[in-house]
Amino acid sequence: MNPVLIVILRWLHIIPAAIAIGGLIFMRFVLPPAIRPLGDEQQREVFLRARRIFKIMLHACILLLIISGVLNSIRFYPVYQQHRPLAIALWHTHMFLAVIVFVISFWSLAGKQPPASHRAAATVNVILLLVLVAVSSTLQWARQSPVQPTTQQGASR
Amino acid sequence: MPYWLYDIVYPLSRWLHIVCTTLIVGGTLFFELVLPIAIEDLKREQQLYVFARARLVFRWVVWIGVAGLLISGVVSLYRMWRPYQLQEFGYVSGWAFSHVGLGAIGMVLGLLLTMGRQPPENPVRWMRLNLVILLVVIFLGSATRHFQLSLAERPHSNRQINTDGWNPFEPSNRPSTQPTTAPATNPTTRPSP
Repeated sequence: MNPVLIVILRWLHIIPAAIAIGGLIFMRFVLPPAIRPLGDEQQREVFLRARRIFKIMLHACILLLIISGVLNSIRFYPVYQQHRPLAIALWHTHMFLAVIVFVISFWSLAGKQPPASHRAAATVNVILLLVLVAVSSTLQWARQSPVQPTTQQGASR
Repeated sequence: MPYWLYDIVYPLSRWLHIVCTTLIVGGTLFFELVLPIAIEDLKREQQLYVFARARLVFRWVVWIGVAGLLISGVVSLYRMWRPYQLQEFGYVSGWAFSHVGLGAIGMVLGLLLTMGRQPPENPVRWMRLNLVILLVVIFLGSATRHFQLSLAERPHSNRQINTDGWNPFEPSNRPSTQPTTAPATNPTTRPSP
């Protein structure tokens, strides 16, 4: 694959992840204390406006994450197979957590009004995203570690 | 560093670096793009008040992010310092030090924007500038990583190199698990006496 394309794909995976995670943390932990002195109606209005813009941003981020993630997975899957079972297990965990995070995001941002438990959902999503990044960091470490002779034999079967 | 400790520190520092990046980049984007639109219907005094309070809370996010980036960045630099001295890593170290330099500018700008009781003139414009700098910093980091990996994965004639350039400089610390088909001793065609 073209090196420029590889770098851009890597960049296009990190930037949306950064926007999604950092934006969610801002929305959950920075915005509520900032608007607390306002009246209830104004608080709700400001929160809903922020939520509306964040929804557009997050949907674009999810689209970019899926596109760059699929292309990265196609590129690295043979390497993951060389490092099975650890790399394959981590890759599946990464995918599984990503799907859960996307579903929670879509659910909590759907409609004009947030669901009653949107704060709890946002907190769960932040924790899952931190775990997801940890899994992806470990996956990269597993990908770069030397190939075990037994696993290489297993992969070549 | 013993290999078992490296196996813990490396994923952990990478995790810390990415999480702290997300805190600063995502927070800055939210601050300069989402917050001004969200509060535009409020009165001018209320806007300033909300903005000031958000800045106070965001200050902690920036400080934690900068501290995490510094710690994980120093760990990465320590890990890669010796490979960067090699001639073949010359252009990679150029990308890496651009990443470090511009990243330092971005962090200092982030700290300056959130430090003190009063924000600077046009804080949103400064945040926008900082966001652009941070996006370039991430691009430089991605490029460094790619060139580093592609260089390290290239076959070398007389030495074995790990993808992150760690192994060849501390060969005694990590057991080699690479399979080999080479015989333990060189075969000889010399006739036995």
